[in-house]
Amino acid sequence: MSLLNRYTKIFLIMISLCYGQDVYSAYGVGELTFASNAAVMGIGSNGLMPSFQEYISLSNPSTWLRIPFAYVSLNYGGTQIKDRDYDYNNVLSGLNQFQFILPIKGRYAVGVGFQPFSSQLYSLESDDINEKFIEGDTLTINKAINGSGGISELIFSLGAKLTEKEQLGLKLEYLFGSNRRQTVFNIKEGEHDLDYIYNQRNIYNGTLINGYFSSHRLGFGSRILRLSGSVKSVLHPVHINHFSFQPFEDSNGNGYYDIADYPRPSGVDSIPPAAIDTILNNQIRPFEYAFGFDLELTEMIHVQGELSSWSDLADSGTKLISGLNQRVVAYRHLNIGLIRFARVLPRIWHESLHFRAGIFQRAYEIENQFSHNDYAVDYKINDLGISIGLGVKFGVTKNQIDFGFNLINRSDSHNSDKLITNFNIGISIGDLWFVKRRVKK
Amino acid sequence: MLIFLSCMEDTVTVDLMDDGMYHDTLYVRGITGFTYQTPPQLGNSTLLYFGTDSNGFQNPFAFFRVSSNSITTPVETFASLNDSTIEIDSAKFILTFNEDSITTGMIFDLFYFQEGGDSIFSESESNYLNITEHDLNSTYIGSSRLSQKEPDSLGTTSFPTLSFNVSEILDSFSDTSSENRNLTVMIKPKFELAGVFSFKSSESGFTYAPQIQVFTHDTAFVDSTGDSVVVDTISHTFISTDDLSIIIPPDGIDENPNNISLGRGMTYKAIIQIPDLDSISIPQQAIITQAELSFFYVNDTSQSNFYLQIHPITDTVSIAELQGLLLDDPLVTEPSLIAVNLSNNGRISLNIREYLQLHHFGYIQNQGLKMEVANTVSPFNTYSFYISNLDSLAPKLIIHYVAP
Repeated sequence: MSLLNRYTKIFLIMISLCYGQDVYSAYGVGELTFASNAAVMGIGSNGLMPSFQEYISLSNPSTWLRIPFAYVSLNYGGTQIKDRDYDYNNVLSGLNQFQFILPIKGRYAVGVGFQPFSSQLYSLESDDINEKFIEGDTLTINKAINGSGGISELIFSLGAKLTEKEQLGLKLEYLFGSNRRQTVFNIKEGEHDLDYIYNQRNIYNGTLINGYFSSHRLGFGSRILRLSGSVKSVLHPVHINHFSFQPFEDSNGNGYYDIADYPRPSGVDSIPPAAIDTILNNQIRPFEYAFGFDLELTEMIHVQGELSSWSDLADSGTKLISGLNQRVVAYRHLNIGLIRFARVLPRIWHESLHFRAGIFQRAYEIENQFSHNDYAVDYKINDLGISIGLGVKFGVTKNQIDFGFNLINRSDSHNSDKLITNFNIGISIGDLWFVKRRVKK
Repeated sequence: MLIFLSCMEDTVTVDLMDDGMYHDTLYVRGITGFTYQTPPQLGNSTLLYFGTDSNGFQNPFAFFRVSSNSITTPVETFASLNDSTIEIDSAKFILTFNEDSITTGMIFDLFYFQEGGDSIFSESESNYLNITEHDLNSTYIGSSRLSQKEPDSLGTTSFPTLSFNVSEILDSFSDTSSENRNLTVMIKPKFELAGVFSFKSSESGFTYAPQIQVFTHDTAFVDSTGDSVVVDTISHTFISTDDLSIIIPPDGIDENPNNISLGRGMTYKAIIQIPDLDSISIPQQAIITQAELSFFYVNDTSQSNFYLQIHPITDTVSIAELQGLLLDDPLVTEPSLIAVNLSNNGRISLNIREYLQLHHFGYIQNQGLKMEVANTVSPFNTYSFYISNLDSLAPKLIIHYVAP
């Protein structure tokens, strides 16, 4: 592969991680990623409890000790956002998760993965045109903001057996990425109609640590009850390099900064001045805890539930990281669902299938960081969703194709009424690694 | 092989007025100004003047320095015309009147400086204080009456011209061995003129620039029979590259501290200072969208449009050093940033956005602005504006900016 091709593919992957195009995409660091793989989406969970296969969750390393093969898993998903109040409809899709998991003799498991932490893609236009009367002139002012980018995670995971019935997991999530924001400030005065464009860029890096614990010590008779818990916190504070570029008058209206614009980008004294580089620390401090259960109702049917609470403990001292004045400061997730797992040794065709279904609810708290208006207050967003999923197991090494789908009704205290449709397709290929093969004679 | 799709079909509509950028306006008062005067200097003017204005401006004579190379092809020099194979038929100095018809008959004299050398005048430095007719030792060459050709067959008229016979000074023009060689002539009215009359200068363009036209023919052309024959007359044009009409302003200096005055003939220039500019609070990355500095006329609300040039002053200014008539302009300035012609409703409005933006970026210091009328403005007009703090008539600066 030539160097150019390699970079082109990396670029495509980075681009594909941008989801969004909702107002929420412009809040804080953007929309947080929840269901990163199809199995998790199918049950509507956060991935704590096993949904990929019986006893196994791709997102919880403490469940990996019973994985029979090494897996390479790739998940691709999409979102459709339909706003019933404003009658818009946006569709976006991209890569959701890449993961490699390697079990080691049933005692340990390691994994390397890549997935979005948050993403932004928005193009927002003001619905409020402001008029100013100055010295007999009337200025009509309007505004739009555009943004894209997001934070990705490079994940290193380790699972280990604590006892025969307890397992531990550890996940290090290295956050990196960037986003760009463009504010287009339009002033119309008589026949003059000019855009003033302000560009900003944030570059992120930091590390989160996530600890997992799983146990199947408890049960109801012969029905095994698996319990899991996890805690996520900041290991290395998220560091943000914020670049604020000199705004310019887009004199020729092409949306780019060029020789025709003001101030002219050439000439004496290096006009305009260099971007202002501000280093921000502790602007994002996620803390999350989660509990879940998985009750084996029959040999193949399980009921699961999860409760998790995520909060950003950072001080809301700056709005430099946010496209809008708001940011998500907390959310609570609750789901319950039913899974019929495939049989280990299927006897008929549908026993090779995993069926997943669930309902979930998420409540977000949005903080209004800065406001010039007294009436602007913090508010909440509520997601109420249903999910279904299907997994198809095939091959000797338990390869699997998963489909996940959910429908979310999103409402908030501003009477927003949105229907969000998510889908996810995953393929997981199993194989034996580091095993001596017999030489064919 | 992976295929990625990202389709944003619709823009989301929200209230963004509290986010991102904002527009604001600043009103700046307390602007001060001071008029100072230097000798008039019309070297870059598009017109040359003769006669006496009703306000007392005198325009006694004008100088012209012609180029040593012709602008016509083949390119000749005065020296190359001295070749024995070239015969000069005639040579004329042409000066074009600025109006399209003659209202009164005028006769002008042309003079040459036989021993003058080639530094008789300077377009940018000569003025009525450092050059006088009597010191120049000029030689009378000839006279010309302002005349106009009859319209051609298409009815097209040409501008009236003065046409002087300068054949007798061509030898001096072509004598490259002479230390005193010069290509300079002077023109002055033979009689006192009833008013001021203007002619086109070299700044008005090649077509009507003052010029010497030399008509020659080549006697060395030999045809196929071996006989010398006379060929058609050839015209060579040597245009004036430097010209200057001397203007003598009437006595008196505008010393009214409540006003500033501007004028080319009086050479009134002004310094404008915005004392509070450094303390004005504009956000660091603000972009100035408008900056209108306005002045009210003292007594005339019907002034026609005129052009101003404003130069940022780069060095500290001492008002004490600007008293009286100065022989040289002491102000050091950046090149002109602005040319304006706004004049309405009894006031002028100057766009000084570039100055303020550069000052805001820290590229220039707020030493003030030098203001003067442009070279296209009549030198006989003087414009006065209120400068002292007279409430609604005081100068003011309105700054519009957009900032993150």
